[in-house]
Amino acid sequence: MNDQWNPELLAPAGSLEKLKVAVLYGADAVYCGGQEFGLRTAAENFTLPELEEGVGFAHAHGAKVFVVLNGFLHDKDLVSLPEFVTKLDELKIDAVIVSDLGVIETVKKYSKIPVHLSTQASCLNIEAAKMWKELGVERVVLGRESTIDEASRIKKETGLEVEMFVHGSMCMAYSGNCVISNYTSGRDSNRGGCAHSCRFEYKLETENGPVNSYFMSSKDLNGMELLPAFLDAQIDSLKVEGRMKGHLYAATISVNYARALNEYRQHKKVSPETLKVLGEELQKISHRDYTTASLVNPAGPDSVYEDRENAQGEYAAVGVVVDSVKNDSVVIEIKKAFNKNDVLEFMLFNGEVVEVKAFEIYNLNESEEYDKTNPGTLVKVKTAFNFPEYTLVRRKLEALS
Amino acid sequence: MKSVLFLKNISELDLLQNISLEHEIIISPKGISRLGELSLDESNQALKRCHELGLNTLIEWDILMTENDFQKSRSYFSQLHVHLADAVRVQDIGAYRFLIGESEVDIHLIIESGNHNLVAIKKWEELGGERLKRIVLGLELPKSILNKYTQEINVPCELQVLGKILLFYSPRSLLSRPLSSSSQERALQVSASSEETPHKGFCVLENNHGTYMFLPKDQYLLDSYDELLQTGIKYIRLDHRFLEGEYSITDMATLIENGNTQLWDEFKNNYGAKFIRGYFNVNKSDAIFPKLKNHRTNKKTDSYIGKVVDVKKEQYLAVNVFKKTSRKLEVGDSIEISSPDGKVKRIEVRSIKNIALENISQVSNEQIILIAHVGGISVKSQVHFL
Ligand code: SF4
Repeated sequence: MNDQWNPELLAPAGSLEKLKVAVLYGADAVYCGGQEFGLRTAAENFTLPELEEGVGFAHAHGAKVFVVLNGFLHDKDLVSLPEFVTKLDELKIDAVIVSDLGVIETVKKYSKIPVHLSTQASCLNIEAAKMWKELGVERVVLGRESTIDEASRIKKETGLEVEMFVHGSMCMAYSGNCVISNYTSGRDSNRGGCAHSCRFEYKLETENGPVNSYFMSSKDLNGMELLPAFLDAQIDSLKVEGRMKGHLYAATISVNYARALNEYRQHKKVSPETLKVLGEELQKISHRDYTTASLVNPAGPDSVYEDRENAQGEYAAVGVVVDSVKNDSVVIEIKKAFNKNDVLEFMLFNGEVVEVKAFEIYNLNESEEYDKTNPGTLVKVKTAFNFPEYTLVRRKLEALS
Repeated sequence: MKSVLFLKNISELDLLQNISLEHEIIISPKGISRLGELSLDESNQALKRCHELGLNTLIEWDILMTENDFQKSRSYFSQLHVHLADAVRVQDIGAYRFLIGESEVDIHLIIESGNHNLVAIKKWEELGGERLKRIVLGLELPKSILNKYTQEINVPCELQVLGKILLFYSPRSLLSRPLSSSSQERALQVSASSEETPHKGFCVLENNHGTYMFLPKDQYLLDSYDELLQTGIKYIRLDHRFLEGEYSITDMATLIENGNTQLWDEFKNNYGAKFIRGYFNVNKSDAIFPKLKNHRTNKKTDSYIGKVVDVKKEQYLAVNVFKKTSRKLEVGDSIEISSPDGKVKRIEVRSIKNIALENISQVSNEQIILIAHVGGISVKSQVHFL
């Protein structure tokens, strides 16, 4: 292994707050969407001032910001793209993630922003990667059908940076090759309108009678156990899916993969014990059953998740610290209700957990003491610990019920 | 317009002698074509037969390939009698580059997925140079766009006018498990109906390259023949491979020859599954996007101060202050607060408290501030300078 090798952990940032959470919990880079041109139309996405703040925050913490422009755009969409691209260039973002050749041409014409090819383009082989390189791409986010071994060969043969998904939800189709939503919901899935029809239950008419099945819902990718293989292959960037997911997901994924990568940076390897412990942490968040999908061999029939709902994680985010009064209290934005005297777990940015019993809970001007809290509100919890802003607060699910 | 037909399987080989030379024939070798059913030998046999008959033949190499698959496909491709074909049709950009660099055969580029703008299409065309002889356009392009594209693209364009509409292409075996099948060879095919939406009767097929789902209604544009002519499309493709009923390549040839509209009506009336015109008239698949966003909660860019994150009736509004405000909020400023349900309140800020409950005259580094309660304002309301 190369001594200088320093892979990047790339985390999703569905909002400015989640960007900060991901960076503080150890992501080396984050990707986020503007208000247009991406594939997460229903996500909160970033306004330009938010993006400016996000870039400033990330850069101040040594992290990069990539902006996703990965829709397959129609001619009319391209009209307003140059102006947006020029603004992104001014904001000094670190790269754009693009699928459409028309967008690549536009970005190259109006800016100097490095272009990463989105997984939506389904770049899967050396010849394709060479073609994209000739078209001005600096990094390819390989299609999720590529194995780590194939990715390594693509990197060596092309000299391109290679990014692979290491964690998160997956399409069962080749990316960019699913238009179920276009025809069944009138929403263009290649411009952010996917209605996730692959997660539905279907009745299959078979020779032996009808069979009900979630036959096209993919399990979630989890590449933690394969981290040594990613590192041996010198994959440049390990990407986590999930811009639509919550704060606990952003924090848990970032901190656990970051811990593994930090161990690698220090010791040039990640021990099996560490992988086991961190793997167990990833079980604690809500997810469909995990699969390594095609990271080693092409995904088999067992890569399908035969259920509608995600498996519940062991923990739920009860809130995020949004402010504090030194040595006195923290202000928590409540995501899930908790009660007086409950034990809250504050997840530190290095992954350690501090337990605090909520002896005293007040409203913000301390005119009222609460016995229980309500989601969507802010409360002050008295504690002498000084937890910084964006610290995640979680509780064990059985404790919540 | 010329027509492009499929040789569905080897049993149709004998029918080729009845096919007029004005049609082109797609040969789909199982090893490199998504829905191909011809073995390597059968493909070569078909190429030879078409060549003898003087028919234009096109080899379909439309699978997407990981690097390992690509190496296998290259080797498979090298065993085909490519010199007998008039062109090879590819979608994978790797295969496109390979053909440009390492073969002399003419190329048809399939850009049916994505590729909805001329900038991209013109660039693909430029990359193919002299070797690119045709562009296969997608069904999502309406006639107005087709019209524009055919004028701008220098090579002839092709469009599917009859056949199943592909909804997805997955490399995974999605049917073998629910159908409890372990067969590697047999293609599996079922009809699938959604249990959660009204959509019924999707044709789902699994074969050696993966799984495909098709819309229950099939594409049919023959009764728009004159409009198709006007779009400037030069080649129309009729795909009988998965149509309901026993149609052959000769049925397709007969259907399209002589522009016999009576025959078209008959065919349409006799056809089991319903036909649609897809997006040929208009494509409004982005019309819903504005509705997916709540514009009231979309932050405006310049005068934005922050959002209301907590409300205590008759006591305070807690505002999470945006770090990049155009200026610092001060006591005495006039602000506008707009709630997600459309209420707008304009007030003067009389006092500001930080979270330690100290009065401050100006917001500096505070994240959460408390201002006086305003009736009708709820959490997620936006606060702006007036
Ligand atoms: S329906 Fe499923 S496979 Fe298709 S684009 Fe959406 S998430 Fe991907």
